[in-house]
Amino acid sequence: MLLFETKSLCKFYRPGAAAEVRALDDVSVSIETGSVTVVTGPSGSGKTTLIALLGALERPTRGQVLMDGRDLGVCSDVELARVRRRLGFVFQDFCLIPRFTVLDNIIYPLIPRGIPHTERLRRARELLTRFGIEGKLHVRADELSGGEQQRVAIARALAGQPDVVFADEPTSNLDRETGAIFLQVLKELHLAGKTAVLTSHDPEVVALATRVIELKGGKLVATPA
Amino acid sequence: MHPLRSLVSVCALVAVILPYLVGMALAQGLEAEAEASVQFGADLLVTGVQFGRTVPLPLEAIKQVRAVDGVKGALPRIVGEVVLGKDRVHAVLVGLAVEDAPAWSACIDGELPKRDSRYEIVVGTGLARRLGLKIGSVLPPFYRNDKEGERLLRVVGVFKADAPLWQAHLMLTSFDTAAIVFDQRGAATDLLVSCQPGKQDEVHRAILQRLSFTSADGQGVIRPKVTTRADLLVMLPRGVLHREGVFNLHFVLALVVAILVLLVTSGVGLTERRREIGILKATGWQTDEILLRGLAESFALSLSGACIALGLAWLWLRVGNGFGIAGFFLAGVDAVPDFPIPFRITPVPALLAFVLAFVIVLTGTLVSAWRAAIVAPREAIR
Repeated sequence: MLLFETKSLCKFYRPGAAAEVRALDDVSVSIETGSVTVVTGPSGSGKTTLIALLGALERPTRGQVLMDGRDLGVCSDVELARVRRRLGFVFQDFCLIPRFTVLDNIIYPLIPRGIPHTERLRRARELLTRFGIEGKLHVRADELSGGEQQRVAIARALAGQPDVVFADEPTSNLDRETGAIFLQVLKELHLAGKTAVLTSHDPEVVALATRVIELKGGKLVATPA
Repeated sequence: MHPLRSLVSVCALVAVILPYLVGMALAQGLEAEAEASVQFGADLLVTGVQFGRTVPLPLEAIKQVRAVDGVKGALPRIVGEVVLGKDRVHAVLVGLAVEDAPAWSACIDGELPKRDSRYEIVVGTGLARRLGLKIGSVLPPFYRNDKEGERLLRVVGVFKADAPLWQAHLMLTSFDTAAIVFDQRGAATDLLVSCQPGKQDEVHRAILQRLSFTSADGQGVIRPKVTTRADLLVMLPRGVLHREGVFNLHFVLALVVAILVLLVTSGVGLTERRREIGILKATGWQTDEILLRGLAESFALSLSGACIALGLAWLWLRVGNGFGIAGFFLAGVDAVPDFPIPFRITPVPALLAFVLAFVIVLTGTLVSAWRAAIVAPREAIR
């Protein structure tokens, strides 16, 4: 079943200016429900921009992003926020709120989802225990190591029990142990029928992919089935 | 809440609200004291009018007023300004038959000037401190009297520190002594008239309609002017309200500067705040939910600021005795008042202070939150 479809998707920064950047140019791809899609390509090829557009983090300059057949480009701000509640993001630079504790970073995204406080706490504790940082519950995010921050970021993405998990270079900043945890999570998501869209150069991650999309200079190179 | 931004905002709020609360509490306290003074004063105050101006009354007026039906008593009084010492300290000299006003003695250390004695005075606390006077001190002649000559005045009493603040620069003496000091024998500046219960309006009308007095030179006619307690209640706070108005004007100017400062301080941690809002939006928060969060944050900050300012205002007035600000409302009072300053912290200024704080913080918070919340999450995070 088709979950995402992009039609002639373009994202230009500073459009019309001399310094216009064509981050994505006429990209049409489709992503099935339950698939593990890995977007690869050299730096600056538009991988992060593609998952940002799929994840409704920004709007396309031209073309369409369809999720369950619905054009995200014409959705209102409120509708996009509701779409994002079905998604979980693991950003390359973690994007934790530094002055929040680990616990707050995980439970804050659950507040607009209407999840009761006790359930929020339960999920946060469970995930942190699973990732081996249950002792850091009340530590500020900016006091954690890079690996620990990445684990918190993964826990935050999974806490909302999303339909789709997006991860931008999830293993690039990780130690071996955290990388192994993430790969295990990815396998479990796939087994649970969840969809994952990742950008990565890591062969271990690519090996888990059911679909690989390759980008170069903002254009689609190949989409092997 | 951003800790540094919150701290800066609360401090700026307190700096703005505190003088306002103190000023308003002082103004209200003074007004209340003025009202209380009037309530305990005479029923009617009779003065003379000539050419449309207030003039002294001849003493023959006392007999005429006392003869009016419903009048219980009429006490002549002389009130005038004198200037003392090389520092030219301004004081108000009040001369009256002090034994007819027993309420005075309760707030005096020493004794009241005796009826038959001359050149005895009771001085206010502010004046006593400024001129170094105490009971038994003598005051060199500060007036000119060609008939009686100039004499030393002896201090027989000093007002207590907890007496009403109106005594601070007051000199109380006998009617005769005041007449000599001002060289105005046979005249009083006004009459304090007390009426039988329920007869005040009747007496008021009778004095106005039936009485007129001959001036001291026997040529002109002096008409009476009657001020009732109700008139005084309206007139007395006018001075306080004027000063309150001037204070408010200064405050508005300070407020404009403060709002600008707060708008700048609301930019403290703006980049971090923008990124936070981007992260919240990326994880499912809506713009209105983020703004609501900003609203709650503003409410908490302004409530904290207002409460701290309220507490500090109370301390400033109660412990600090209006240090530095009391002189703004009370003429002749130094930076360190030497008598208890009256104050009343009422709900309206306190509520207004909170609303003011809320509006200021809300402006700073919501503007920055709104600007971050309306951009795409990826842009805000970047």
